[in-house]
This record gives sequence, C-alpha cells and structure tokens, in this order.
Amino acid sequence: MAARDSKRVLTAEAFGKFLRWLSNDDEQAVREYQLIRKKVVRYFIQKSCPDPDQMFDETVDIIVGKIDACADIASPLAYCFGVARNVWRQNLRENKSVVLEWDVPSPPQHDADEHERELQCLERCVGHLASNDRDVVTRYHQGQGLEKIKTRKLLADGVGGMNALRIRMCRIRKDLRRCIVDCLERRLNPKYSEVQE
Amino acid sequence: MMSNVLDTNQIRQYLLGRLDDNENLEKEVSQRLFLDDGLSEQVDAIEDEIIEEYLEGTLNAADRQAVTGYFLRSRERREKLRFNQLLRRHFESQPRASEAAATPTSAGNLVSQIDRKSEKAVPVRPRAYWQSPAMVFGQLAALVLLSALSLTYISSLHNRQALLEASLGRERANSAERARQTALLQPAMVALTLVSDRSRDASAQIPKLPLKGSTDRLIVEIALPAGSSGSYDVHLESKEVKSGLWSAKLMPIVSPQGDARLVFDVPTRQITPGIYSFVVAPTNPSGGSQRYYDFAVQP
Repeated sequence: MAARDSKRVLTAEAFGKFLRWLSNDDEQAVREYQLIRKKVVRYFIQKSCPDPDQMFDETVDIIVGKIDACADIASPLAYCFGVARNVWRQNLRENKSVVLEWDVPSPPQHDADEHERELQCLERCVGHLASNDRDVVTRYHQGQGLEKIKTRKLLADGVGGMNALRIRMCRIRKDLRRCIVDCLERRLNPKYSEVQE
Repeated sequence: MMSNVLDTNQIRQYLLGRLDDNENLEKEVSQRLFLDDGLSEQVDAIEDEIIEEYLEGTLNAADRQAVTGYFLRSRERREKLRFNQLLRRHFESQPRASEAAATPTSAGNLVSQIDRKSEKAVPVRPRAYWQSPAMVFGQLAALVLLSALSLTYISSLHNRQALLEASLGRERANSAERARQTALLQPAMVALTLVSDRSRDASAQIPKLPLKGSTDRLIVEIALPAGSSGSYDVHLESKEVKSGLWSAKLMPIVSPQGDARLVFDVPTRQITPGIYSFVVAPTNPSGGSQRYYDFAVQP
C-alpha cells in the first residue's frame, strides 16, 4: 500500500489557481470543478485505476503547472480529459511492473453487526421504493435458470425492451445504494439523523 | 473510424480493458464516454450487467479472467459487486410474490365463499306450517337439494384448500432448497495477490489470508518475472500435503510491456488454517525453474 502512503494532496494554492482558470465567477468555478472532478474520477474508475481520487489530484497538479500556457483553452473539460488520459497512460506504464501491488486485497471484511445493519437498511430502503420499482427489482431476482430468463423477458417486454430494463434496474440499484449509505450514516451518527429528520 | 453510435459490445469491451492496446479506438471510445453525458447511464448499466453475469457464473472464461484481472481492480467496482451480491441474496431469500400472496388470498376467498354460501342459505328456511302442504313439500325438497349442493360445494372447497396447502408446502420446501443452492452457487470470494516468491526474499513475511467459513473461493493473482511466457503448471501444497490439493495448467496474461501474471481461482474446501504454497513451474523445463509463492491461511 505504498501508493496510499505517498498519496498526493492538492494544495489550497493549486486548487485556487485551478478554480480561477475555470471561471472568474466563484460559483461558476465551483460548479465547473465539481463537474470536471466527477467526470475525471469516473474516467479513472472506468480504466480500473485503484486510486481514482489520487489520479485526479495528479491531473489537476499537471494542469495547474501549465495554466499560464493554457489560458486560452476553449474547452477546459476536453483539455482535462486529455491530461487525465496522459496521467492514466503514464500510470499504466509505471505500474505495469508493480501492478500486482495494487490493493487487490481481500474484499473488506464486514463484521456480523455491520452486515446486520446493512440488511436492516436494505429492508427499509426497499420499503421506501416506489411500488412499481419494488415490483421490478423483486421479480428481476426471482427464479432460477430458464424461469428467471422468462421472468426477465416478461419484465423487459413491460418496460420497453431488455436495454430499458437494464437501465431501469441500474437506476433502482443506484437509488437503493444511496438510500442504504444514508441509512447507515444515520445509524452510526444519531446527530446527523436529528439534523436530517 | 468509429461510427457515431457506440454499441453495447464496444462499451463492454472497453470496460473489460480490451481496447487498451488499441490506442486510437481506446481514445475515441473513452473521449465519447467522457464528454457525452447521455452515455453514462448506459455505461453504468453495462457495468452492472458484467457484475451480474460474474455473480451468476455465466461469463465465458476470457471475460471472467478480464473481470478478475482488470475490471475488479477498481475499489468502487468491488464495492458495487458486494452490493449487488447483497441485493441478490436479499431478494432470492424472499418468498415469491405469488407465493406470499397465495395464502391470505386463498384463505380469504375460501372464507368469503363459505360466508356467501351461508348467506345464501339463510333465506331458504322452511316457511310457516300454515302454508299449503304442496308449498311446504316443495320448499323442503328445495332445502334438501340446496343442502346437498352446499355440502358438495363445501367439501370441494375443503379439497381445494388441502391441495393448495400441499402445493404451498411444496413451494416453500423448493424455495428453501433453492435458497440453499443459491448460497452454494454464489460463494464468497477472497482475493489473494502474490508478488514475491520464496527465492526473492526468504526473510520476508509471507502474506496472511484470513479465511472465513463462508468463503468458498480464492481469486489468486501471481506476478511472474518480466518476460515470462508459455504455459505453467501450478499446484497448491501445504507442509503436510504435497499434492492433490489443487493443480492446473495455466497461460499467463502478458501486458504489452511484457509483464506477466497468472490469474485463477481455487476452491477453499480443502484449505484449512496453515502455511501453503503455490508451486509455479514452466511446462517447458527450459522456461526456468519452479517457484514457490507462500501464504498463510488464518482462521
């Protein structure tokens, strides 16, 4: 886990410079930054990078180092993509020989209490789904083998095709994940819960 | 040149890392995915699909290897995989919607049917004795007939209820069996990465692998010396058992830079706490000597 120990942190100065490059208007700059961060981190995840946040910081560091030369860039987003892609390629070259040091690691071990909390939150969140979403997700997971295939085909016919069903399921899963994270947060931090509820 | 539309398969290949060696295509696809917000949901859905097929065991060998050796390097995806596993187990352990609905509805119907029957019977009480004998006889006959029909009907309802209960019992038993099989078919996995073999640093601490009873499979990745190629005979041995635990002939995954690794999975049923080694030997003896990759399994 050497990579984590040597994790780079984006300095306040570099961050400020980066924001100014995005826009002179503070609010607009923050919005642009959030969008770029989301997209770049997502890109690194798609490239299976073990530490997308650190690579995003590296990307911004490089851009900050070149800001004076790239003041007239028409599309900061497209420019960020180019730099991010170079960071990925560089990382690929450097880490090929030690690629196996990534923390492939055992999936995080969850203790019984934590697992129980997760299941309770899952039950709760499933209960909060819209009834048609709950019906889709329940039926989607039912049955085995041929029966499961038939059920999914019927579901797909009902929602406009298999691709539409995949996307619908993807949205439901996302909603459930968000809800569970929120629920776990509330259970671990009652103060948060008081403020939110 | 790529068409304007990215198809599902192209995105899937991209997500499995298969375009990384094709610089132009990789760039075009990644740029499209980066800049086109409209594709992000489709990409997420394809990621989910890959994870789902991985969990269901329906991926072909090459895709499975791409998933364990590339796709799951990302912590976020491993977390997504864990979440999907939780979701599957949750829903597959639930009683079926039709089954859950069957009991109250059937019982309710049964009760309401019987109630309705009773209500029908009420108005057909015998009339007063001062009415004409023919009327009394006719009414009595009708009452007898109605009673006989009622008995037949109620008896058929009882039979139907018994059949339904028997069928429900069978469904429940099947469900429990399916849940048990599902647990067996979707084993928990633990990843193990072995970088240094015994000869490189004999004094180094060997990797420790906590193994729970619920873990059914090890996903193992072994780094081979740069430039390795050709097939390898790999077997698992412990101090006590030198052969028979597990063995396979494997081809390494070699990157364009020449780095090679072996990725495979091993069932844990014969693995108990103790010291183990994967013995890796080139199938062709001229390919070098065998190497020992040690690890300790802990309870």
